[in-house]
Amino acid sequence: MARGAFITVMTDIVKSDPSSSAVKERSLVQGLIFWVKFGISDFRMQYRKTFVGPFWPLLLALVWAAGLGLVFRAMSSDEPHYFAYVVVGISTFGFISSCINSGKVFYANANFLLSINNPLYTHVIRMWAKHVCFYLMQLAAYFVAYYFSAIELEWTVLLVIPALIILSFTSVWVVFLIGIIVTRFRDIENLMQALMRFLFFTSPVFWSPGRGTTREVLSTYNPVSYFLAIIREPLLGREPTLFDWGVTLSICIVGAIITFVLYHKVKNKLVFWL
Amino acid sequence: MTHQDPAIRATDLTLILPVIGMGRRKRVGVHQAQVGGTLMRDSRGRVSVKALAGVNFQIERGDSVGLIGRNGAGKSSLLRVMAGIYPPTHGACEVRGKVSTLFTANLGLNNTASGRENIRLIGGVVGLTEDQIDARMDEIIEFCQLGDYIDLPLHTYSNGMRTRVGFAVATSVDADVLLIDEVFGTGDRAFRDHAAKRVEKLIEESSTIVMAVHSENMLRQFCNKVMWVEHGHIRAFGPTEEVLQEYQKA
Repeated sequence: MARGAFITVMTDIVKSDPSSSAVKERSLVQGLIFWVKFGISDFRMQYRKTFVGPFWPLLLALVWAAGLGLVFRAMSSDEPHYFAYVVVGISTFGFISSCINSGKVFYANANFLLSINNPLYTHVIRMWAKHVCFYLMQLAAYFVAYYFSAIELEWTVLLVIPALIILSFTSVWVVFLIGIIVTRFRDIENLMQALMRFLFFTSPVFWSPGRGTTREVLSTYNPVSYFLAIIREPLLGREPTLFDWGVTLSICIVGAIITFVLYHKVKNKLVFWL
Repeated sequence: MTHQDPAIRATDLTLILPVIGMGRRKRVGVHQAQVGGTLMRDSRGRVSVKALAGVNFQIERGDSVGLIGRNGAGKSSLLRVMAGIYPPTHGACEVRGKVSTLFTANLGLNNTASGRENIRLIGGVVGLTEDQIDARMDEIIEFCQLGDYIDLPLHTYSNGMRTRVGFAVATSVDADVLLIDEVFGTGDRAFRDHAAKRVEKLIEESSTIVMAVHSENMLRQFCNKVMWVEHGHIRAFGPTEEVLQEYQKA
């Protein structure tokens, strides 16, 4: 039997309204900018009734880092800038973790998806933008850490820019992919929560790998540690290895392709899974 | 393509909604209930709902069609197919022109944001550009008749007040086809009259409107045709009074 078709013809009778100055359709880029702004507004609104406001994530990162620093400092005796190390570590890990825990991106917006015919990616962009705001605010704690440490920055600090680009591009598809999978198989959401808790302790967030230890093995076979490395090393005055770049860039590209293929397979079905 | 092309044309339109996440072994009866679409079970024991069972119809430009039928007859499913949200399982649904939808009064997007901020957000969600929203802002606010409430956070609004905001934005998109699902229930009488004028104006501008309504008064007020949907079939489709008489007899 033939598959069903929804056909929409936009061109022939779109009304021209002489009273409105702008009858031009919104472009794709304008649309994307709107959804990013929507995410930013979600972030701002979250703190609207508070006094500290959007600076809460920054405080959170500092408190977290101080606590971990007091207890686990000994696990990183070879790390000279431990406080900055932990600050960047937990904010970056937190960002990765909140993206992987974004499985609800579609079903939490079910009301939306079933009311207005917007492409699926719009909801991904919105949630991603909110996570990015939170992350950048947390990452600002690095400046506090920098002030209290003796980090000597070189030109390599600029490498944090391509690193952030790789991380943000990767996080977009992570939210998208997890969203698709979780919408169909809700167990994955709980599984991911458990996994992220496990990864928090098994990734070099608040400890450094060292040499010839169990910790070194743990971080070698853990993709998260490579993303932590490309962001963190430049900020601590060091240079990530070529291997770090290779691993993160490959994950970024391969994941994007997988997500794209899966999206085309499910885009007509996902709405029935909500 | 001529002007005589219908605004919406459904050809053997079938929609089957899978029921996921309930396991296969559970014993679920698939007998026809008083309400709802036909329940089906495939060879692997999976249950699905036939929400639309091969319907055919044409809605001409400028028609204002009311959808009636019991709960679960397929009204909302039909509207969602026309909006392009549910892809049809078989058959086709052709819609000419730009579609605007008003399926929920609670697109109240952000409870801590003000009415004005929410108009910006809803406007963006339905695809208006910043300039378009700026150009229409005053007119939308005036239509809402919310006075100074427009600058208060949305959590101070009642359901009816939210409906006003949602309706105002949805109807300010230059759409050729406007789809409305049961949102007037929360609006008060004054708002309904107010909305009626807006709908009449849209019809004059030769927009096509399809709305699911339960109240017969509203059908008479808003619609020139009525489509009676039952168990995913179209039981009757024609001028408002004729179909309503038939509906009352059944």
